[in-house]
Amino acid sequence: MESLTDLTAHELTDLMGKGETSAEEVTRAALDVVDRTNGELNSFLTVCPDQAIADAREVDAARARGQQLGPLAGVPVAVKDVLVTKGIRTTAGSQILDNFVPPYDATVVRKLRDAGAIIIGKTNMDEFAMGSSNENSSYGPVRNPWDLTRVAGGSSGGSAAAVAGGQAVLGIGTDTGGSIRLPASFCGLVAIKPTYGRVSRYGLIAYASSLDQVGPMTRDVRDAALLLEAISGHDPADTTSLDTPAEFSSGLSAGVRGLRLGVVRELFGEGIDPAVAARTRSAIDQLVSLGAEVQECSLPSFEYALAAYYVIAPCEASSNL
Amino acid sequence: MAVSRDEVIYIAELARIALPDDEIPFLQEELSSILAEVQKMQQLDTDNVIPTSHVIPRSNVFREDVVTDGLAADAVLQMAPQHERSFSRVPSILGMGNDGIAD
Repeated sequence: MESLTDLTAHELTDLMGKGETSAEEVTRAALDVVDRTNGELNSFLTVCPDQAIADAREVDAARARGQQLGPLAGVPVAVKDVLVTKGIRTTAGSQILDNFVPPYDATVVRKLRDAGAIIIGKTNMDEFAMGSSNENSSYGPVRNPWDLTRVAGGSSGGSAAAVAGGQAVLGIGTDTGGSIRLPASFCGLVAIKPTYGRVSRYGLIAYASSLDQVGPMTRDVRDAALLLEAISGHDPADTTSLDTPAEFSSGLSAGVRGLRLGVVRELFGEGIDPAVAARTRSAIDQLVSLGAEVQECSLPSFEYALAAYYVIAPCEASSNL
Repeated sequence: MAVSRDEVIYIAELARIALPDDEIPFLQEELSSILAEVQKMQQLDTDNVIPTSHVIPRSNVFREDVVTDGLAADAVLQMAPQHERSFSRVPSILGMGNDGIAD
């Protein structure tokens, strides 16, 4: 292990709880990795070292006073530059917003702070979230920490590279047509595009309002569950947000025995890379060996999914922007 | 190609994006391929499909008609390059002919 930031959020909160490390130590470790590697990854557009250390010190002080701390207390998080942060420059990956400093925090940002997470900076992204390789940023491409000659994926490439590269422990991305899932896949992370309405979009610079969602990008399933819990919930400022319970971590140890999974026939159709198909099948086999039930199903409307996306998304974007 | 040179130029004008001549053919192709996707959708028979405005069960959301906290005007105007009283000043968009002068 080269850095404290190579650990997961749940491992770190455990160590901090036992007094074996501190929020300030973890935060400094993160900032140190950013300092050493951001030049080559180009994952962060704005770094806030002073504020991050101050926030970390507050977490440590609160812990010393015996106060109740949030579930992510002291954990460094990278936030995609598409969410507004009060007093911290927010560009959406665009020169148009190069000097834009928002006067308010997005709800997700507020929830991260309430959970005690330490926001260390804002990450690079395809401009206005339009792209799938993070090569479409006004601030240069993001490189994949696993292989600097490869892309990190997009549009949440900065957050993906930050977490995969040990610059941050948790990442926040957004997904309209794959922008969390794709870079997470390229960078070897666990990530979720939540069900629409799960996470508030208040303060999210919109791409397609009926498709956009904010979600976690992490190194393991437990961290993804913890982070999604922290950012989920009904928000009066976003009337499309749902008022349903968001509890994901308690069920993790239950495993997949008896879980019924549908495998969509059309997703293995024309154009799929044989290596990808093989890997997916072996993952399905593994789930079956762990007790899941698999059933093949057909969703013929999938044939029109991409076309529908290319009607809805640009139309909504042209209205939003 | 479905989209003509003139159409690309017109769209660029509407979007207020400066367009060098050599970028037009590329954009013609790009815009045409998006229209091809739209055409794919138009082939479908949607007579029996109910128009969908929202995919999750959510209907009109109301709140009590009371004054709550909002952002103060000066906080909002902080980022406006120009402002007048509590209004943000922007270049005129509507009523402009091709020469950029208001009608």
